[in-house]
Amino acid sequence: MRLFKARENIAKQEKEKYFVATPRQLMWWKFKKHKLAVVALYVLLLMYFLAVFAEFVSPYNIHVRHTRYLYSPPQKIHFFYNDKFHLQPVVYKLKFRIDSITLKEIYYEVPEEVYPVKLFCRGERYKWWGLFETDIHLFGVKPGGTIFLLGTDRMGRDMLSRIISGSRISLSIGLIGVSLSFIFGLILGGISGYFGGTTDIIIQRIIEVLRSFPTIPLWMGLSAALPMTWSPLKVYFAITVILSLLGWTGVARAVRGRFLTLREEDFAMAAYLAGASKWRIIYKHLLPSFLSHIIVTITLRIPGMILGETALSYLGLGLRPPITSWGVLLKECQNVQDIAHHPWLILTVVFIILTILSFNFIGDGLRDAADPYAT
Amino acid sequence: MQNDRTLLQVKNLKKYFPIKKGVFRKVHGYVKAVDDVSFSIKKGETLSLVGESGCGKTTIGRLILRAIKATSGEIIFHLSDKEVKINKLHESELKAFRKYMQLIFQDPYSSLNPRMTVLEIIGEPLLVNRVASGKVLEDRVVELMELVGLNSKYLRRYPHAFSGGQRQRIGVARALALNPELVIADEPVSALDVSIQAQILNLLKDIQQKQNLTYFFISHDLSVVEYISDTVAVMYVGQIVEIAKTKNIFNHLKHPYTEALLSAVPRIDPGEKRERYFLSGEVADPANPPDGCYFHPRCRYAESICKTKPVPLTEVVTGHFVRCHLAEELDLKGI
Amino acid sequence: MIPTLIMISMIAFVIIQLPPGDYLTTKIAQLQAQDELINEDLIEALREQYGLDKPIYVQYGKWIWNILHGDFGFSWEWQKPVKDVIGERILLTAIISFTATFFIYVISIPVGIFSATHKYSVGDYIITLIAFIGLALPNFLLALLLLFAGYVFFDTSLTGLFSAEFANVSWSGAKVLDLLKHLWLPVVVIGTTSTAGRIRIMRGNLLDELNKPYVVTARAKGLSETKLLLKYPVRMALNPLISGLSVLLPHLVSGATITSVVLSLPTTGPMLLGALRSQDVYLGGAFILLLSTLTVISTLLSDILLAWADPRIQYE
Ligand SMILES: Nc1ncnc2c1ncn2[C@@H]1O[C@H](COP(=O)(O)OP(=O)(O)O)[C@@H](O)[C@H]1O
Ligand SMILES: [Mg+2]
Repeated sequence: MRLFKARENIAKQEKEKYFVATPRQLMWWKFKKHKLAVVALYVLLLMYFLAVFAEFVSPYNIHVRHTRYLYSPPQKIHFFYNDKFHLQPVVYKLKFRIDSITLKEIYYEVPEEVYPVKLFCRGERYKWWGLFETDIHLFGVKPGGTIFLLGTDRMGRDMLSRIISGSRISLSIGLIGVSLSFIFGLILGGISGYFGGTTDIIIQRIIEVLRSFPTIPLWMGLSAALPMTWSPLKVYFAITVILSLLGWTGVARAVRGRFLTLREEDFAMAAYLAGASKWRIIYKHLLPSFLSHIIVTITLRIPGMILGETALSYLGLGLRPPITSWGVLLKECQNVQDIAHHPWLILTVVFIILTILSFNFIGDGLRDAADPYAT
Repeated sequence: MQNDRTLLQVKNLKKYFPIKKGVFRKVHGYVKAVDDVSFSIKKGETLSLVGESGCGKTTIGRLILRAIKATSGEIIFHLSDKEVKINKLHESELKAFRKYMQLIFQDPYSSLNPRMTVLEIIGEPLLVNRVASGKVLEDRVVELMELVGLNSKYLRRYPHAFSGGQRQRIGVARALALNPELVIADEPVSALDVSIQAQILNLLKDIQQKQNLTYFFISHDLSVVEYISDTVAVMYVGQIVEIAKTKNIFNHLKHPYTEALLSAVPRIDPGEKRERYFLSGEVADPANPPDGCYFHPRCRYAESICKTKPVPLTEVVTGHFVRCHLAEELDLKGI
Repeated sequence: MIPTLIMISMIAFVIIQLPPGDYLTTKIAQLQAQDELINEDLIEALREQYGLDKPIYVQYGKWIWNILHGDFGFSWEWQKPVKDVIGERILLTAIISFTATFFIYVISIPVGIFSATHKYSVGDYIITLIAFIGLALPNFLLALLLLFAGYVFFDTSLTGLFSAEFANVSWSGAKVLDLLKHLWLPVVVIGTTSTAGRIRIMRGNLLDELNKPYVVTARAKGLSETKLLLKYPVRMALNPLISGLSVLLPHLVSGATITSVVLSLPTTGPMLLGALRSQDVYLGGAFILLLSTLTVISTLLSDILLAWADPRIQYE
């Protein structure tokens, strides 16, 4: 009987927890039920972690050319060497010989020369976000050895480091671009939905026109107009703005639609009749009710932004070296024969797809969670 | 008691919604949602407005609350020291005036913001009108919750923790927060289970007695209003067709439409052999009502005069107004 | 629709005018630097014709006026009137986009229906997985991967729309056949993402529809499952898909532009890119204007189609 009482008590507490759960908690509980979305969330958190700590996580500086290792294939990490299993992983020394016919380097590993992979290893000096200087990297090997886990490019630059560093640009363009779209969309959609009438009609018209534009040609036209003399940072922001120029229309539409339905909602009317001001009704009643839906919309828009940057840079209209973004990296893959001979160059695509897939799954999970009160 | 004081007077109230069509939003006609309605409510009493869905009840409620503006007519609110013409109030004066009238909604689900706790919901009118805040506000909310029969320990729960009936109690508490003079209840029980309806009606009546409240009670169901009202107005297509003291509406009714509504009410008394008479046909379109008496296409007593001549609302017996050509001749059965 | 087109033409014009400097001056400077002969008369005529020394709205007016009279301007890069350069390319873009639309619907509707009616079966899971991957694969990456695969596994280059012998000859039956042989790759590349998306939409809509009371009633009445499905739920579920057509076509034209660069198709993409790079403004402007017009027209078509499919719309 005591046991039963205890169980009953726990059930009661659980219930009370549910009854006083804030909307955010309810959404999180619902989101957690979507397993793929949760996995995707962790994948993305990892990606953004890598992007933030790029210099620390990458073993090499992205601009340093290892001239003796052009087009080196990915090196493997070995736990089994000297005929025994070891806890300490190592990489083998990488050497090459010139093929007598094609005159190309052929790389081979020398299992006799092992280099232990060390955590928090000293390597090239770098300034993290230009803030403080150090030479500690997450992992690396002693000088003399190399660790090119994803190979090197035609100039002998470490691909893994370049991809990680590129993610900083590509992933942040997605976030900043979407934030800009979000702000534009929220303001214009809100104005449109709240004031209605002529304002609404004009804004709707503009949205209609922008939406009937094929995105890529428009983006191409705009980015082609960026002066070649601009600094990389300026180009980066300009491209972000260009990408969000069309993105806001979707947000504005969603906001307006929600606004119109919610404005008719009884609880908004109740607040109005109680004497609440317009602003209070908007930020206390309307915004929280549709914010979650808007977040879904914009989450699903981030992939488009990331791909926009990738596509533009791939075409040579977007970011240009020395900026390293995923699109800039892909630009190196324009020649099919190149990729066929050095297939690791295309590994950037794996990172892009993983990111896009993750955003899609998260968006899916958020959509389910967006309205925690739906039955 | 000062119960003979008139609190609210509605005179020749009209609300025409324009029908806009086409790209240029040209006005193609009007929905005459409320068409020349007059009545008054005494302090501490309940006036019920009954009629089929779409006849304009909610619109009248909203006009009184000034959620929408009337096309023409007067709505006069008699405070103890002054008269206020609601339809003429300026936006800026309106906000201060809102505390005198509050609304209880029909749908206990959509009328409570799911993202706010009970404390926030009931406290909102107090907060935005700067009546109370902080601990004082919380005490007042607790008091209100107890008044409507809710356990005040649920203060920090969200609406999803409550049943329909309990949610409606929250709605009542919110309406009472500012001590209004007039409470407009727009079908407050029609979304609830029949078993719960009586509880809410009792609650409303109790509170009325305790606080000398005045109700404007809207319902599409005559059976609901019998218990709570002093006066009943029956409405059809934007117009009042019969208005009288409750017992007269139920016992000495004079309009065929009232009879039809009444006979649709299910009875429990099995001994009573009663002719059930159902309304046939569609409710008239308020944008394009029929000639003569609006009710004639559905009236079983209709004569030729009803088809052509419009009917005025006339006082047949003292305090009993009817809009029917045959009011004097017909002998309709009440209950 | 007309106001939309006017706005679009304005935006297109502003975009091509954005790069600093007037291109004739640039071009003359370039020619002079190379000591080439300058056709003064031609330049004067062009300056006059396009009002290059006038304010921008006059230039715009002249540009539009000329376009309305069938003159899209002069392409510096190609040394030909723009009209002569782009005609076939716009046509091929339209062919690819419309074929892709067809492909998308032919695949996504039946697959979506299957997925919904076999909810949570192995087939449904496989379709869902493929659809999600398809959604995450933007067309130019897919093109890149397919090119890579074609090269590695079949040792062929999958680029182009025509075999070498047909590339530069005029149209004939054989050339059309050759086109059809090459068309599938760009169509698959452009269509995959949208097909994946529409499979998901169709599945979701149909599931919603199948949960509605009328379906339960009909089933209880013993209506055969296929009949029941086709009679109403499928039709209802199709509506959002059809109205989605207006978003789809701009998307396809957009996708076709970049895919054609990757696959080196003789369509608008590579030429637009070239025009933008070399600031061949009238060529670039004509492309942006025509591609946008194409999407506006297709939006109109989708509205008509929707009205035809859903009789309720006509009443309003
Ligand atoms: N905002 C509005 N615009 C146009 N017509 C309206 C509006 N509100 C109500 N109506 C019309 O006015 C009539 C009365 O509506 P309402 O007052 O809601 O009826 P009830 O509450 O009795 O069901 C209906 O025909 C309705 O369609
Ligand atoms: Mg109503």
